[in-house]
Amino acid sequence: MHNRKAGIAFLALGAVLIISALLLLRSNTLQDRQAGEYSLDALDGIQAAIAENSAAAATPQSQESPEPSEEPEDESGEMKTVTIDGNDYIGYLSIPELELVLPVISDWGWDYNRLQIAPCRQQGSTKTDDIVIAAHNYDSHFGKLKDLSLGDSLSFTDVMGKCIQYELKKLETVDPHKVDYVLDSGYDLVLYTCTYGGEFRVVGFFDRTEDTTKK
Amino acid sequence: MKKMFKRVSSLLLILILMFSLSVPAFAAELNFLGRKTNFSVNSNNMVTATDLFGNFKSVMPGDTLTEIVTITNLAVDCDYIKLYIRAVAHGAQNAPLIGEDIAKMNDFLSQLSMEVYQGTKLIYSGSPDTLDGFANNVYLGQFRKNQGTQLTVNLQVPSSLGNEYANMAGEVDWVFTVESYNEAGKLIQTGQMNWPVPVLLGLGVLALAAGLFMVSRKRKDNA
Repeated sequence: MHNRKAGIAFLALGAVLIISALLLLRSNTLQDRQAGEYSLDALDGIQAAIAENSAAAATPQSQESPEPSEEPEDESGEMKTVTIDGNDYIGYLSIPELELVLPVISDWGWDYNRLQIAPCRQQGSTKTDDIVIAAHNYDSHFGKLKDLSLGDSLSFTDVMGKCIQYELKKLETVDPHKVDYVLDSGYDLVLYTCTYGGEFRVVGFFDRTEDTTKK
Repeated sequence: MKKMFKRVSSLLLILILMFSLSVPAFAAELNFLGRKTNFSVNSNNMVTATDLFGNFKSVMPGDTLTEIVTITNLAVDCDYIKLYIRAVAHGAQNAPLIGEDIAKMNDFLSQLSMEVYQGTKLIYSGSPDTLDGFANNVYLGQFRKNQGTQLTVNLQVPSSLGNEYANMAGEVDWVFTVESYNEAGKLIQTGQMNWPVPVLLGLGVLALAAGLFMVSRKRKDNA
């Protein structure tokens, strides 16, 4: 009798645990999908802004200065931004191997809400070749970062349409306390996200290969 | 928790008790918005923009009035804050904003009694012209985003207060100080709660298996 009761209790417990797992999985999946939608929405806005900025830069000037006017190079290292739905973006990443195109928020500002929308710049700039971008391990964000191989390329396009190519030089799983190792790596661009369990960080270290300006 | 970055922000509040002049009273809110924006004060008082004592107007002898001040951390540029309060006495170096004569104003304030509670803890008790427990910074707590605290300020006006105090106004200066901190020493947590899924599934399957075994064993025994 006791065994039967215990057996039923175990069956009930098992059912509860499995249902909890499925509910959590569903919640995570929905969150992932939502993050992907947010990113797409922002990306449309960014690409429209880039098209506008590029057109403005290509506007013919007076006859006395036949060369198309260019914005004076900002030596401060600050990247220009475009504001969409209250968030400032510095451009977008394209990672062909992962079939990802993602907007990048200018500054994560210790706000985890922003990471639910898009990858965020933690520090640095493409102008000073020390940019570090973090994103959640959603499949729609950096969840597939671990699937990259050495030599894989990506590009970053800023809001003025300047496109910079990078190549993956190193891909590692890193202890999250090795902050300086990631933030002061010496590489031109660093992307990172959590491992599946959240305990460690998958970090991709990239170096610049070439610049092209979007026409 | 290693302290990485600390910045101190202070807000001097001019809190005004007015013996006359009826003004609408609203809830008093003090929000810390971050290192750049500092504080915002929502009191909708007509006297000054930073006056939290909306309920301490039209004060009459025998009144016992209460003002509840809600303080909330809304900053997104730090992980948490530490909040302090202290009072500043008026004198030659700190003249009252309302332009009253300091001696007369302090005399008026000395007739009243004020208590300030944080929850059930009494942190100030005295006449508003004295610093009492607010002579030095009083620690109000540590708060993450959307967390905060409430101060309950009780003001008692003696029924014996004479007509010589009619139309008097009193000013109390409080300084709120925030230390904002970022947790350092770790890369940003960028993971979903994924690991519980296989753990829960695994445990669930084990529990089901155990349950089925126990139930089927019982049936075999009965057979």
